[in-house]
Amino acid sequence: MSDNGAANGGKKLLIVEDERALSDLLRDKFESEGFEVATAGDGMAGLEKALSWQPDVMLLDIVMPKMDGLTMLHKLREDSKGKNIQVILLTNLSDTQKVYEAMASGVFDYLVKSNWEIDDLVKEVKAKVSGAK
Amino acid sequence: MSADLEAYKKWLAGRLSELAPVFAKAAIGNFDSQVEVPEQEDELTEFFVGVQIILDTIREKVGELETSLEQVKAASEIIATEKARVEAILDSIGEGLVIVDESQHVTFVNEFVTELFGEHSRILGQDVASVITLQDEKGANITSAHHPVAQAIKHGRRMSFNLAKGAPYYVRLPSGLVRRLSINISPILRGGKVGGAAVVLYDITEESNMDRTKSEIISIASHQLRTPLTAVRWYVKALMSDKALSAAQRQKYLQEIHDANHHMVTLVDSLLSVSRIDLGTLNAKPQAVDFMTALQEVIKELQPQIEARKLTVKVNSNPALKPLFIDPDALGIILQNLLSNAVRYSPDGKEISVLAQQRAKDAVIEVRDQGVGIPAAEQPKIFGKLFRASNAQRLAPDGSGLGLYITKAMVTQAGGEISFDSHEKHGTNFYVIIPSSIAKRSKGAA
Repeated sequence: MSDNGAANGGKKLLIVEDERALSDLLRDKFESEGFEVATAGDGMAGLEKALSWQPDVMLLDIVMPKMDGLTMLHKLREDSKGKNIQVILLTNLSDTQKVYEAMASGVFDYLVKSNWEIDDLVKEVKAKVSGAK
Repeated sequence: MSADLEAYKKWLAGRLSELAPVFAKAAIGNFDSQVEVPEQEDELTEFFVGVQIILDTIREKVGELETSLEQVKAASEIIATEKARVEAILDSIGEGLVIVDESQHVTFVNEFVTELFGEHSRILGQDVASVITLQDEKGANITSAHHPVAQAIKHGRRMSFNLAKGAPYYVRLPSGLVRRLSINISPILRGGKVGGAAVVLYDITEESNMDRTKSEIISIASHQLRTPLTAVRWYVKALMSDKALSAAQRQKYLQEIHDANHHMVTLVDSLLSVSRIDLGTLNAKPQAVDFMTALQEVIKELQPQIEARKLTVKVNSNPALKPLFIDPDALGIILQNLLSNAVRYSPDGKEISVLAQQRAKDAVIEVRDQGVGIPAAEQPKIFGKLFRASNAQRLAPDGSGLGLYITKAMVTQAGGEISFDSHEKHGTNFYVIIPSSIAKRSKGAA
């Protein structure tokens, strides 16, 4: 886990994803877009970081060690400091059933990783943060 | 007068005594005698003729009876031959056949059925539910009322319980083996009423195992190939479209694509191994293999993870260790699985040690770690396919649950053995015994 300041005075993005290859690329991409990016490799570290660092938006994987993304999201929403953080779930097609179940309990967007180009993901995140603040 | 009577009696006795040999023969079943009728008629002529007619008639009837008897004998021989032929045919078919009467008592079973459910004497005449004993998937007995044959007879219609309909019936053999059955039941109708049923049993164990293997493989492949496929897609896209990437970034991205590809190849190889193990087509080419060379290769491959996790790997190999007699790929897979598990499930900074020593005609290899260990309750299952210990699942949710299953199959195929001891939170030691090439020289070790 590490923080990188961005020159752009940009929004804060937290990437919670255990697959290092994916989170590395997302970090590069969003940093080059002027975001301030932090990463966490499991749900437990992600929750801690989200509550203390207060990102504007969070990309959240579902299948992760220690605490899965949906449990983390649930705990985040229970906390007053986590209530308003925007969340985009990153999933694999195989997790979509779980996502549908979870959507009943909290409002968020989700993207199926393998169906999306990374540029679309950047657009989606930008739209989220520009609408949020 | 009395002298006349005496003479008459004598004469009568004399005449009748002529018949004695005829009757004696008839008494033992010979009716061929000819009664001599004197030319001159007397009081007995009619009687003698009568006896002759009776003899002739009996002879004729006996002849007819003998002919019929022969015909009956010939017919029953034909029937016996036919019966034997039909039974041989019914025994030789690969399916079980059970015939029951209207009260659900078994009247016929073929050999397939006796092999699964016991001897004829135990089965014939008994209630079908009590001798064709079925169980559900979990091993609970199917009660008489729920027995498929009882159901079909009750409803008076054809019923089939095949794979497409879930094939819910199993039979547990005395050996402990469990076979899965597909069952077809056709009621036998007599005068519009159910007069029994013909039950055909199919052993679909292999078929359903294959079916399961296929769907498991498809499921694992679709789950676990997805992440590396996404990584490749995203990195390739970035390389194609991000003009601002530095040379170092480009290099790193190519490395990521390479690693993701390697990961996929490894996974596909594992899936292929599993499918070969399950379908019985695992084809090993054993030869003399140097243990240290194989081990160093695996350690080299794991080096990045070992360094990232600050783990120490100690290797202690007895110089007297003989080459192993095993398929080199299989040895690579065994060591790769055991060591990558040790790496994956060890906390940072711990030690992993590999020991190898010669014991008689075998090599004994130990892989010891100080990792999370395997919970005692889950230890009996660790070589099962798709099994993952609960603590391992928490630590690394994306494992395939195939590694130890494949490892055990590979060790077993090499004629070796694998065992372990483990304490949760303290670590696990795996012991692998593999025959040395000396013991197998006759089989063409290189």
